[in-house]
Amino acid sequence: MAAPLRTVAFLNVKKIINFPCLTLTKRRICGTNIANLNILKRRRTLFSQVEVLYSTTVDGKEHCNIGTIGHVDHGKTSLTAAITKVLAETNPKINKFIDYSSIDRSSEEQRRGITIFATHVSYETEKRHYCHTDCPGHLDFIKNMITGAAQMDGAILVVAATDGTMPQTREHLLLARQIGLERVVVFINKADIVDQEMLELVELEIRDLLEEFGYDSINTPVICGSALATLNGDEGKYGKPSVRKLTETVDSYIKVPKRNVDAPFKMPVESALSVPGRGTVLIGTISEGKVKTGDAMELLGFDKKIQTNIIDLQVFKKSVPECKAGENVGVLARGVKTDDVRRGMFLVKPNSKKLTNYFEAQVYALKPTEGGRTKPILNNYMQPMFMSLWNLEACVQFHANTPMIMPGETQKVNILLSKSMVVTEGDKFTIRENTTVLSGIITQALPMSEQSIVGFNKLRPIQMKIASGNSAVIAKREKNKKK
Amino acid sequence: MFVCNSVMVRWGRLTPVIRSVRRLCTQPEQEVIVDKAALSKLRKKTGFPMMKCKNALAQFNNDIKEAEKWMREMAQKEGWEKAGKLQNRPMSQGLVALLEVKSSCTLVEVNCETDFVARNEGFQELVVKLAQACHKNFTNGDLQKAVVAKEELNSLPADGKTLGDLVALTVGNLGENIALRRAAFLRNDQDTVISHFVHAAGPAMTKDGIKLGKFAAAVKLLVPNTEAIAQEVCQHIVGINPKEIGNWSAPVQDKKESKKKKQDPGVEDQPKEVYVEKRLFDQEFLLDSHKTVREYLQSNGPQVVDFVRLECGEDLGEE
Repeated sequence: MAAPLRTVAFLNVKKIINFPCLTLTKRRICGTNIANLNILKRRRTLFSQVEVLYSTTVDGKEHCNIGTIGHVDHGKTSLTAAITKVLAETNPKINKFIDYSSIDRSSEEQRRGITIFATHVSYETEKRHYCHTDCPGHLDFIKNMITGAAQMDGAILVVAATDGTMPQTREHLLLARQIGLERVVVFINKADIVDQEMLELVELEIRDLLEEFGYDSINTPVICGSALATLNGDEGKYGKPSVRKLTETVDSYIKVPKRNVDAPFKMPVESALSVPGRGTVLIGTISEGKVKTGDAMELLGFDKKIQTNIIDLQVFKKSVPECKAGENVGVLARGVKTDDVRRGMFLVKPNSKKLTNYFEAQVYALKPTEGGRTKPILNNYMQPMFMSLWNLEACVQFHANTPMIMPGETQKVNILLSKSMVVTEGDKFTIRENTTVLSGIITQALPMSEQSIVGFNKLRPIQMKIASGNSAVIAKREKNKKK
Repeated sequence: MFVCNSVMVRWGRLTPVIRSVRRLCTQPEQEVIVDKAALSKLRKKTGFPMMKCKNALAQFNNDIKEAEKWMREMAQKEGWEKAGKLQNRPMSQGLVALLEVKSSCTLVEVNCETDFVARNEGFQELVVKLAQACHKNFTNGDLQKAVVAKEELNSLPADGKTLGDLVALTVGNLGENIALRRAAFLRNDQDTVISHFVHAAGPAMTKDGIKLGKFAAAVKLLVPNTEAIAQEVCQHIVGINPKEIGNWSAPVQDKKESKKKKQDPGVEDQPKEVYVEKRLFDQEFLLDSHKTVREYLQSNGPQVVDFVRLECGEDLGEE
């Protein structure tokens, strides 16, 4: 697409993608471009409040989502304020100091109809732009994972040196594992009021705990400092320098998964056009990988697997030899009929993705106040499931020992689809009756399930009645008689 | 200075401690160098906060046993102090516990601030202890059913302490506001049966035979003497001779049909047709001619006598 990658960051995905780019006349192309430019200008001013939705780069810098976990009284909020203070001093143009009282710890937000308690602060270091989230409870972190536009890349575990690790620090690390955090950075707070020996002991305790939960106990950085001292402007060892060191460590230690141009090619099909005399053109935005004309591809989805070749690639009505991730293209595919293609199918490199109708997901059942059900959900709940580009009937199957899900709860479940599709870890979906009942995120694609449920993914054979000459005539006469 | 004051109260143990206490009182910085290995050991053993372990060791000259003893005695008091500081914090999370034995069933709700603590083993152990203590207290009394609120509960005894003491100890340990909100009790009778259902927000949790979760319900059913009823039905079958069972749900049409038959203008020659009911359920019960067999069976089915439901964090319309 014409818009450079950085401005993509400001926009809601839906707004950009739904304009057809190939069969437009010149006037229409100009029209859509100008309309979008206006949107760009409007959104630019809202940037500081808008969560970065689509791209992983903002103004050329990498973007990263981190959170703070730890006991309520150990100073998570003070630390957040201290980080903004230190960064506001290094770079006052981009960063603003947000003091302790301005951070609303009981802020509630509505996302996709779900109420989440979360505090968001954003700031930038030399290397990256950060979106810093803090939630009061386990459930809020899970809800954030399910509804959040981007996954959390890392967390800062805050432990006060005066208390050491609390019994519930175990639960904090368990949560970090559950939301898929590979790396954590530890900050030992209140370090200025204890002595060196105690700090060492607390560090040892933390490393033991990290080991227990499968984190790298040797290489995980542990930084000692005092958020309060930093907020008071102390330049001593445990004051501002400690928080500066923390931001630098987070820059270097927490890894952000890059949009992989080396990954195998993958493109979701948004729409298809039939170009007379040439064939079918599949339109979509490449999510991973590279493609060039002549490559062999597979079209997967809705139980279908079609082998094809790429005859031509077009971006804005111009043929290009090669395209890569992030670009919106029209792909002219050989041997594909328009009837075979449906929105929601994937064009992938041969043998790189598998069709499956069974996957594991973390779901949240919406409360009646959020528009969900009042009654609990029982096993084998069958309702349509909506992903970004397609929807199918889905059967929600519980794991063992789960009799039901009450509204307001989150649970890991297995989902059986009525047709097999390409599913990727991290995809978000909703399951609706009339309103959204369940909101979820795919955690793992499972092998195809053999389950066959009549009326769901298996249709009863219909007996064909062939009217023979005589009986057909008689039946027609009777019908006419009644009239 | 807090350390000094509390130690001063214990006259019996001042002598070995007086030197270090004097030092603490006269000089703001502690002169006793706390042994790192001792601190590590004490902390691992007791799990008390780092700072408190260090202060204790400083007081008792690195004597781990004395320090531990002192800290355990102080834990109760400090628990109450912390509970006092935190008592106004809102508690929306927690757990519900259900203990059922054949003769009775006890449910308790314990609240805390975050769901991290609700998942913590230490908190769950507290909930189990509270459930056991409440159960013991209720079964010793003569209540049939009770739903008891906070104030009364906290003063119930448990192994020499009160329930309020147990809660305060855990508050000191976990650093969050914790409260035993309410408890419910159902006693079973001779001809009743009690059963329960506990819903946890994840996999089912059971500790020491006590089920933990977010919702719990207990029900008391009056169950019939099935053998006696079966015998009576057998007697009826011998006496009235049904040919088939019939439908469980009472058909409405049949009454009209049988009425119709009776209204038919009967020929005088033919003897009057008496409609004999061959279906068991519709026959008049032998031992009670006012009811059909169906009605008799329905009125002797299981009946709900009482039930209790506890939802953790429920809005009860309190302050």
